[in-house]
Amino acid sequence: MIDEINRLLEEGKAELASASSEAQVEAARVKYLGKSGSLSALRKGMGKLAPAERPAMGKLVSEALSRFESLLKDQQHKIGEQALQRDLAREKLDVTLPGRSQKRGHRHPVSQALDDIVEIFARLGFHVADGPEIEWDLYNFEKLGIPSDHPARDMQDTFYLDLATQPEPPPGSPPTEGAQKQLLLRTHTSPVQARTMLAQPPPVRIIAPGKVYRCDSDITHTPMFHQVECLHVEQGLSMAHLRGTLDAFAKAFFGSSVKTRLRPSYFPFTEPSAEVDVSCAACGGKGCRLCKQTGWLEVLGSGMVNPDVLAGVGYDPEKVTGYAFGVGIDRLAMLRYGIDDLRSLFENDVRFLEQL
Amino acid sequence: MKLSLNWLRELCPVDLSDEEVARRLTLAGLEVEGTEKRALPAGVVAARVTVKTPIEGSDHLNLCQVDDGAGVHQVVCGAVNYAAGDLVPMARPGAVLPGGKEIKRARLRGVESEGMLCSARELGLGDDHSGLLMLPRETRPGTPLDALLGLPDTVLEINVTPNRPDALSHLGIARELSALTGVPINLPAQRLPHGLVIAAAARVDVEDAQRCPRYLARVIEGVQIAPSPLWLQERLRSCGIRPISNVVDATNLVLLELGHPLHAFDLDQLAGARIIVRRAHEGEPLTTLDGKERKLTADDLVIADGEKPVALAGVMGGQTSEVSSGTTRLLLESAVFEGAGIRRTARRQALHTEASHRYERGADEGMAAQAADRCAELIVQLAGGTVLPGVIDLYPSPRPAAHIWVRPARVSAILGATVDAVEVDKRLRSLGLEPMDGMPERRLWKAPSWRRDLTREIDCVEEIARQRGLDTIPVEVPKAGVGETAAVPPDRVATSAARAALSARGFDEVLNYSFVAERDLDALWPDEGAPRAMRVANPLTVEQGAMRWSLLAGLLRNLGHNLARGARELMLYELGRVYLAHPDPRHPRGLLSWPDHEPRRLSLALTGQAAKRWTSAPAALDFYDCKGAIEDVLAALAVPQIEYSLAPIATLHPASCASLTVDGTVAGFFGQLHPQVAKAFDLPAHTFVAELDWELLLGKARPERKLHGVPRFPGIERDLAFVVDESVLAARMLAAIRAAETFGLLEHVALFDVYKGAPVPEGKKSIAYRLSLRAADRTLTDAEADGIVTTIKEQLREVLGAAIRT
Repeated sequence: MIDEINRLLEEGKAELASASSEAQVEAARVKYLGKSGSLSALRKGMGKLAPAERPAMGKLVSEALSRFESLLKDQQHKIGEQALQRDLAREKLDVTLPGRSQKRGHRHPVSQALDDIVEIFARLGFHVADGPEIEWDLYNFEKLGIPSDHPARDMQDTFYLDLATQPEPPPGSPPTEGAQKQLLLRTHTSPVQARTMLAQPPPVRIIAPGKVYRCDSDITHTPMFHQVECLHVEQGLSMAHLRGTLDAFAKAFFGSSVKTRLRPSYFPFTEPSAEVDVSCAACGGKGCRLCKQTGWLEVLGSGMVNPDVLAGVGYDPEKVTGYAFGVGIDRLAMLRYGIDDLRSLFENDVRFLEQL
Repeated sequence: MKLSLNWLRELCPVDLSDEEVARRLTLAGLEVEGTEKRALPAGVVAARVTVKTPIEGSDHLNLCQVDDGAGVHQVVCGAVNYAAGDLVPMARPGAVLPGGKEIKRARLRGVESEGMLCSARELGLGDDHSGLLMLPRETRPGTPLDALLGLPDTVLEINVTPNRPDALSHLGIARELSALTGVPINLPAQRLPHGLVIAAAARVDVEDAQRCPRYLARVIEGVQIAPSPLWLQERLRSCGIRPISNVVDATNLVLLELGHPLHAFDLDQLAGARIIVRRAHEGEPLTTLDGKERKLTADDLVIADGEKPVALAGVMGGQTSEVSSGTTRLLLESAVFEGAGIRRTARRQALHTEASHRYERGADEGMAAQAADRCAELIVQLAGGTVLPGVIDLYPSPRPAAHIWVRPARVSAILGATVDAVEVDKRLRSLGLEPMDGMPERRLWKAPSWRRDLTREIDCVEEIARQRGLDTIPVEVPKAGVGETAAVPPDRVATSAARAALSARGFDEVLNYSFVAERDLDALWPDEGAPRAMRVANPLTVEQGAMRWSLLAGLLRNLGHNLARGARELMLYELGRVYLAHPDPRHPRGLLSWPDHEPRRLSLALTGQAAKRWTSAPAALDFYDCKGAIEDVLAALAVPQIEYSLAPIATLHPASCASLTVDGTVAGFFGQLHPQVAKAFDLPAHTFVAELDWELLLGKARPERKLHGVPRFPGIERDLAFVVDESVLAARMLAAIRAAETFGLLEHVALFDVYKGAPVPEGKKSIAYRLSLRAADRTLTDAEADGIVTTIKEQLREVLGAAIRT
């Protein structure tokens, strides 16, 4: 019996050692330890032994079984380790192939700039207001101190609408003379000033982004463009607040190193009026082609709200003052992204749009 | 306006560089937009042509012997307007003409030429290239041309804002410079004879004193018309005015110097030697100096003689009374016309002149006499003759000067900087205002006649700000009051989310003009009942003639533009307003809301094939790409109750057109372009579009999200494939599945496969769903799941005749 045990153990040992796959190891397990395995059979054979022999022999059989199980585990582990090594050593991927890609869409530069501007002003405490683009002469010109024979109308070449039936203009509109038209495409976002102030008492602190229109088309003008109007009317506002707001806006939009400069100018609905220049981002103010060697770029018109405008909407100019400005968004986008022909903004060529 | 700095320095002799003058003017609100250096090339001198002989074999070239002071040279010349004895400019060899042409000794037609005789244009002096520039006969040969012309000079282009007619002259700018620097103005005074003699020579009547508040005339006799001296011609040219003759040039010189328009009539051509300022008769003709015959209206103001109109008042003279070579007697007009009337006439006649430009903005009534005297004196200097004693001056109601109360405290409050009474005093005086009354804290000022724009305190605040410089104003960020900090409004947040969804899907955003070609709008609707577009009365081109009532006209053009340039995969969107002739009653209107006639839309357009990628096969963009984008947008907005249904619309293919309903309201349409529309825009048949009503969707959006906890008990998933008639809609099946399960255990249904073809019978399709089943309060058993699946199978068999595919 002892011989038999040793023989089977040796045999099994050799078989395990020669097993090179998990399947062969399993086969060996079944052969020796399975229900009808040969080592298992030894245990069943115990019954035939004399009772006195049983304890000693039982011990030997148990030892043989556990010995085989331990060998089995070692071999399983060894084969698993070999398989892992093989797997780690297999052919490498070409990691330089491009990843699985998804086409990405692009925002239009003007709409992106507009969103950024709205956010900047929201942080400065301005609410968003809005108004129609097809506008009455009354709000676009009259309420802003630009009557129909005023030379300031030359500053803004106006598109008029040709309607089969002209709707009734709002009360207070200038008298219609001949073919003169009352409905126009707003030439600036400033009519939102008048509309907002007519609809609420002070204080007013709004911005009004949107499309505006002028009959003009060349490298720096398109017949439609975008503005953001800013209006702040309250007690005790001065031109210092105008400068502060402009400065904060310019730094937020162009970066903290940008400088602003006010230059006296004229707009009928503000007084004092000022054009606002920012230091040229391309050359840092040293002078280059973009800024025509001046170091400055004109970006917007601004001023203190003309007391006549305040009185015209029923505010008391002795009690409240205000400042206002209108920013050309397309021009800002042009400066920010280095676009040199404004018209390319509205060609909508994807080779242009997909650069943003 | 163009400004000669040499001229400016005569009037206000400042000791500043050209650049510094330009900078100071710009920072005072007179923006210098450009600078032109006017100079002649070295080596251009006056030369006398002594002999002129035609060159044999040439029809236009002459060989000239020319004396340039240093010697006689032979020069070949092709001009025709000169004769032997004339003085002309000669560029010596080595001179470099404007444009970079260097003069060299050359052989022309075998003849040596030792220089070049020049026209005005060749010297960069003007546009005249009809012949050589003629120099005065008394000029000494060899004189550099610079000296004759008063060159070099610097000319500034100044942008004068419409409120500052006073700055439309060299005197006006000199006044500004004087106020800025303290250097006094240097303007020579005139002494002209007084008397009544003029009354016998001419008569003036003003019939419309409202439109012509002042009319002043002088008479000059015995003038001789000739070209002006070169220095004067150069002054005019440098300011953009073409020299004509000594008399006309004199009026223009005074216009540029003092800013007051003047007109010289040939007195002998004025019928009855009289002037009547009146309104034109309706339809009355007048041929103006530019040779155009104009039909006038009763609103136009004319200068008439005893018979007919002889000038369009304040705009342009007429031909009949034009100063010509034979003129000897002049009536010199120095009038003031009302601005608005001049503006109407100028616009009606599309005639914008130096005179109308100034009158429209408001002429200085106080300047009329001075301008007439200065001009009369200049004419006598240039053209000889004598000024008749006396002046006709019809000025029935002199314009009162504006008187303005100014409070230094108010000035300080507006500017946000302390400006004391002493400074206010100094600055207002420097601009010509005179203190009349009051105390330091509130003083009454009289505005000068040339500053008609100064009528209110705020006007003086602006003047003080300009003078001291806007850089003296402090920088102060206004504080936001408590609770006043604005947030980005919810509709902007929702819109940003939608844009992000479209960007993630690969859609590029476009921005089109709001006006499009009307035919493009018409082409969008190849059927009865097309919406009507509002037209632009004065479009720049017919391509921009109609206000869009759909964004698709622009988007389809964008597709075409990009396809023509080689794009293969196009996915575009635009979010913007459309303009409706008939307001949409679903949207609100009012003073601050107008979406009823300018609602926003979100439109998509896509066509082509996704680019080849090594990870996936290229696929043509189709209806479901379009719908997927819409679903993403709606998910970003979190709108409820979305339904899709097949609904015909003229723009779309009848087999591939869907309408979108949100919460029971139609909110847009999408699908494949109708073949006729695709053809009209020259686009592939497989072009897909969508147009959504953005106002409506924003109204339904629910930007606020609530988060729920995750389920605590495991669920069971079962896949089921049904075979149904091809005509059965997916939405119908989904509804039937949901209706079959009544215990609330069907958590989710996902359609994952649609299949037609063998072994599915002809006319049928297989649709497969994954059902997710879960109970909220316990672990669902397999037996329960089997029961639910069986119910669903039976229901679908009963309701839709669905068979189970195994």
